Amino acid sequence: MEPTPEPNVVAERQARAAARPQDTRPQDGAESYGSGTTIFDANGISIYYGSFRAVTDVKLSIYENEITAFIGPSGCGKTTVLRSLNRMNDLVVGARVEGDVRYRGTPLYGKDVSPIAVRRKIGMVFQKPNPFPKSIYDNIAYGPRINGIRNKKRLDEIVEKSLIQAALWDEVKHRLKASALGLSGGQAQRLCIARTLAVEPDVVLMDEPCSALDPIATSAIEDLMKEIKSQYTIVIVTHNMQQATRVSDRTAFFSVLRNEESDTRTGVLVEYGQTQQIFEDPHDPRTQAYVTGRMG
Amino acid sequence: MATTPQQPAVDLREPASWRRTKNQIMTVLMVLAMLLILVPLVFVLYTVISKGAGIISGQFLTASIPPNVLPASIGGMGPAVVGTLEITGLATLMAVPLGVLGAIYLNEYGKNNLLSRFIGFFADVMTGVPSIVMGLFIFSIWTLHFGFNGVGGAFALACLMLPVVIRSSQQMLSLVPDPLREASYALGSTRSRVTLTVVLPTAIGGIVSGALLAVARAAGETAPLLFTILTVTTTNTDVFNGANTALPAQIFANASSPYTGAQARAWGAALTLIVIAFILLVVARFITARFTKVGR
Amino acid sequence: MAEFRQEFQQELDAIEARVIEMFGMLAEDLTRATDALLTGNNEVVKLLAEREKTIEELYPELESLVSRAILMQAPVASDLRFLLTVLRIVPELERSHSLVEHIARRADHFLAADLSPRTRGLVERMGELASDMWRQAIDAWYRRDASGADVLAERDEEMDELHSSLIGELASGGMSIPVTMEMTLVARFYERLGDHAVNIASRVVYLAGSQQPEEN
Repeated sequence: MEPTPEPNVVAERQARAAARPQDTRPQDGAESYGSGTTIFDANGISIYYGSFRAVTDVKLSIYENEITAFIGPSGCGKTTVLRSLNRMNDLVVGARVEGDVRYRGTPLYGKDVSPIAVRRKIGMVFQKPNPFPKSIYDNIAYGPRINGIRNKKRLDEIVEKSLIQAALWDEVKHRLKASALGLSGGQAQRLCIARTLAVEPDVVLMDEPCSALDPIATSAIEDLMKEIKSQYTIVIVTHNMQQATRVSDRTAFFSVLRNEESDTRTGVLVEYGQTQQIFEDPHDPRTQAYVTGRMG
Repeated sequence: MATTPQQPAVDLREPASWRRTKNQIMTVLMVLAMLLILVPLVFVLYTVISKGAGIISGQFLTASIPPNVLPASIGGMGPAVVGTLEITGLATLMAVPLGVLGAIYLNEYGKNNLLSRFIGFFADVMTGVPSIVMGLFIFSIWTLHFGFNGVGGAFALACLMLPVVIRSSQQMLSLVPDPLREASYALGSTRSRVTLTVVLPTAIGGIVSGALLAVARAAGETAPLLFTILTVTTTNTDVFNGANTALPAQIFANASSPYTGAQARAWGAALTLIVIAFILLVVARFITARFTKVGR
Repeated sequence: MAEFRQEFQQELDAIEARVIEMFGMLAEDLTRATDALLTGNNEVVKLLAEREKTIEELYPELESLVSRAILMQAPVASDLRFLLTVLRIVPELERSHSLVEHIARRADHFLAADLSPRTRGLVERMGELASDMWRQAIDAWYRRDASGADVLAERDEEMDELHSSLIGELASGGMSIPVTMEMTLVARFYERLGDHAVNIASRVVYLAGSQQPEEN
């Protein structure tokens, strides 16, 4: 049985739905997925590490309740762009973002925006499963606890609900007090997803969440993503193009631009569109070359 | 599955060559080196135990120190045992919290800024300062003004322990994988929360065992105590007033006297000190094994 | 740009070569069949029967090559479109060749002299038009030219007009009933051949995709 969300959460979502702007999504004859509300609007962002420009001039909009995949060769900046969406890049010394990126209309890098508050709304799942060296229960309860929830009963509910959402409940319900380090790779990654969901974020960013997992664990995670996308917006970076075709509604292809003079490499967004279009009929020859495996 | 009968035999043996000979020579050299290392270790332990074991008793550990001329059967090293515990304990209380906090600053907050590089550099320099210099330093700034007392000795030992605690704690903190920190940040933690709830619990085993090693080393220091606490023959439980004594200082004093009784007591004190260090090491090992959560 | 997946590219090239081979046989045989029909040349009938066999062998071979490539190489984008298109047009090629063979077989049944001059003229024009359309279809395929579909759709209207003219001529009863019946079938075959050419050209639209030409 699915625990119903808290009344205040429901109210918040309804308020959000009422406040939705008009659908600004380009109607390119494609079928509709989510609500059509944009979650992120990046308008020409460039990301620097010190003086090195890692990504340049990225323009894209990410839509609510959709799964958006970022694909591209190594060094194309897809992870960098992903991490700029919840200000994880702030943790890297010397990293800075130029240009306008909005989250639900609010500039993410605005003057009085706290990265802490941003990350509570926009969660992240990492490449390698990184459960805390604590019990399964404490891993899930970690986020709610830092948000000030101390009530044992309330925490129990959140833990159960999050683990159910992450399709892990049945496997771990009898050993919630056991160390999370004893879980298999796939279970640990689902635990990390459950941990992220426990703080009820608005967006879940995933940085190659299946690259360390076997195919069965991978498909469990993929099913899970499709399961939860009705409640969350998901952005996933993946090296596995088949994965992008399987799970995502939209795909953004990033590539590397080499500057021969200064011998530097900069990531650029080459093409962004419906996943089927990107993989069946890409408009840009570079996308074509990449997805068909003709170019690294 | 049977192999095809007419397969030519494949020679998978290592070819006789200079490489093989070199391998044998190096193996012999390594075994010899190991035996050489064992000689002083075993010899020291054997001598101390054979000469000190006979004198150790409940009375030896508690009774006052008699005049040097008296035979070994009379009196003991009580004041020195108490003094060592007092002074080392006090030094630990000073050096460990300070060192751990300093290491947290260096690793979690300072991250390569000018101040932290400065502190790190001087921690390394302090490791290289001879302990007698540290004793003279405390003598000049403390003992000259406040007279001989346990606190002065504790200050000297704390100064010796501090760099060791800082460096070993910092090493342990730097072993905490960044993905764990990122996981916590991604849930909306502040830096202090990340440090308190993820980094410290993960590194605590290593920090404690590093601190205990520093304590064991400090407990055996003689030189800094010579100028700061002197030696006394009766137990002084007040570390703030009056001269005190400690096992290493007492060993030095007794061993340099011509009386066999005093010398026998020095051997006993040496064995006591070794046992104390041994106990601390075992505890350190136990704590490391029990609480190390880094990695799997 | 470094070329990866060379083995896959070779497989694709091999498939393309076989498709072109089928196209070639078809265009060649279509002209021959019309010629045989109008001149009553029996030799051609045997030749075309041979070709029909070759094509019937080529057809499953191509299909298995394509399904193997899809299975082993997980193609996407232009590769996927190419393989899917091959799967869709090969049956059309195979059927079209059967039609050509059927046309040629009519050369056996009666003397070309039995045809009325107008019938003969119309059949000749249909044959030429069908050959033309097929040449254009092949051309569009070879050049991945999406514009061929429109051109062929227009020409197909011409074909339909010729077809109704011929049916009208046959219905006027100027020839013996067996000849009229055979010629009705022949008219139908040409008309179908035109349709297949149009189908293939419209498949090329999908095959060509919407990729912008490379700028540098």
